[in-house]
Amino acid sequence: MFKKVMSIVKTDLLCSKILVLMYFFMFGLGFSFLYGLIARFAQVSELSYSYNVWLQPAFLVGGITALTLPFGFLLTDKQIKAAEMVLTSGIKPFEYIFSKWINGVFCGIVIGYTYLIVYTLLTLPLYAQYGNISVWLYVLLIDIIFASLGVTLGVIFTKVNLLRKILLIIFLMVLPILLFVLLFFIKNTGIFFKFLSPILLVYSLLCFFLSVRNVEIKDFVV
Amino acid sequence: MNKHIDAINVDFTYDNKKLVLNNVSLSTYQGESVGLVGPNGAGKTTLVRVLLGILYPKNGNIQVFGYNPLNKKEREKIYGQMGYLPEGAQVYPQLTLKQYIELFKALHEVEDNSTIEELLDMFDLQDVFEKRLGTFSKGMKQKAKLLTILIHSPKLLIMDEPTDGLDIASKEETIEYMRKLKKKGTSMLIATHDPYLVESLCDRIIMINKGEIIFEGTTQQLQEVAQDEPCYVIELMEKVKKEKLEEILNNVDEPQKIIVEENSIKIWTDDENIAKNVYKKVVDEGLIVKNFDRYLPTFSQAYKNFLEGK
Repeated sequence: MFKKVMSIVKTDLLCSKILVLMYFFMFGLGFSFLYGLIARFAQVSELSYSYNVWLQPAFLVGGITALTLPFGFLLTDKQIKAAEMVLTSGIKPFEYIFSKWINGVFCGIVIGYTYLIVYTLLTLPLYAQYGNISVWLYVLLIDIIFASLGVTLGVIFTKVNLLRKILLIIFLMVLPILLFVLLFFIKNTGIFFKFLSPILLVYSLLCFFLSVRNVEIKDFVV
Repeated sequence: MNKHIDAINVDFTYDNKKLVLNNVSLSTYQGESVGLVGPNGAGKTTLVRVLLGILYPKNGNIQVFGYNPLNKKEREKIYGQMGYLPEGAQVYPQLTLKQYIELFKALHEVEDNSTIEELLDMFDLQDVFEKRLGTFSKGMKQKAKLLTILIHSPKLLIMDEPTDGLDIASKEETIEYMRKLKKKGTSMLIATHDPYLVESLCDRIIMINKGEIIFEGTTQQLQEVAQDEPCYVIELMEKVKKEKLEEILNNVDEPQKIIVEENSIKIWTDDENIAKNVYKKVVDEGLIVKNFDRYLPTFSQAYKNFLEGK
């Protein structure tokens, strides 16, 4: 199973290498250089340098990557009928979807961590205290949450029946509210990660498992 | 012979109103290739998907290798032994052929490269092994897809328009390879509009229209059935004046439709003896006959005639 899943992960990475590289250079390197250099050289108060503000993009860029990639992979595969070929080769639908999830988490981590590394390298001599290990864990957490939501969104979009459409509408309403809450609380990172992130993690994983529970090959067939 | 596919009284509907498949029953046996033909929208692709367990039928029983494709656990056992080529499936344009093959090698758990090398040679794809699939022509992409469903030497092949986009030479090679697979015991169900593929590969055809099977048999049986009245043809070795032939045939008593050309005579009759009498008369007149046989329309003509008759 592992080999099959990883072969799909590898294929998706190869197929989306331009997009992933774009995310990497734009979000991972670009943003971190921008914010890192500002933090290092700009004449701003020390309070503003706290990772509450400057490390925020690490969560966001990782999250965006983790959300959009699996969602895009699922829809594209269905559209070009590649999913039909892959799923009738013996891989289970859950394994197939799981491979997309792994991809989202992996790319999210790479881009989120790139941001963190570059940012920390640029600002470490001044603000060593921000190289806190928890930040690295939270980036991972955010990526898991968003990859799970991305997969859920992808699965719901590929389904066609009425119940799924209703779920999609509900899901689309829940997600912006969640993002709003996230942005509101992220200003106080401590509260966000202590209370909201476990809730979001449970919610996203629940969404993920519910969406893949009864998934069928026909859901990926045009 | 082992039955590979056995479908009995299958009904399928997308919307619970109109049956897309109506009481369809079919079987394929080990080493047999069956062509699934019919006009656009007849239900061929739907039938293929139902047989694979992708779509769930309203009624009926389906067994593939003795397993139920509608049961998730049993389906895995089926998929491991078969190759499926969906119609119009696209390749990943960003991948090289090598990477594309590696994906399916991993999915089918293939370790040995000998079949892959044989297929690369047969499809003449060795030179483009490292090239991106996006740069391939339509026919080459089709070859790449065919290659991926054959790498694990499946016992059953289900293909929807397998020769779509292939040039004549590639089509010939593909058909030849499939004949070899048949000899090894691989069975095939081929949904196609390609008369050449049907005539040269399929042992049997199943014609489907509006979700119902309207004909099942060999291509020759279809050609015979599609003729309103049997026709016999006498081919002459040399060209003879039409008037002379007409003069000879004037003495034939029985009323029947006869078409005379310079080097052939076509006789439409239910009674084979009448045709034999004409043949005898022609021989008695000293004309040398090259061939005397039942005349059959081409498969394409027969297919068209049969559908129009229905």
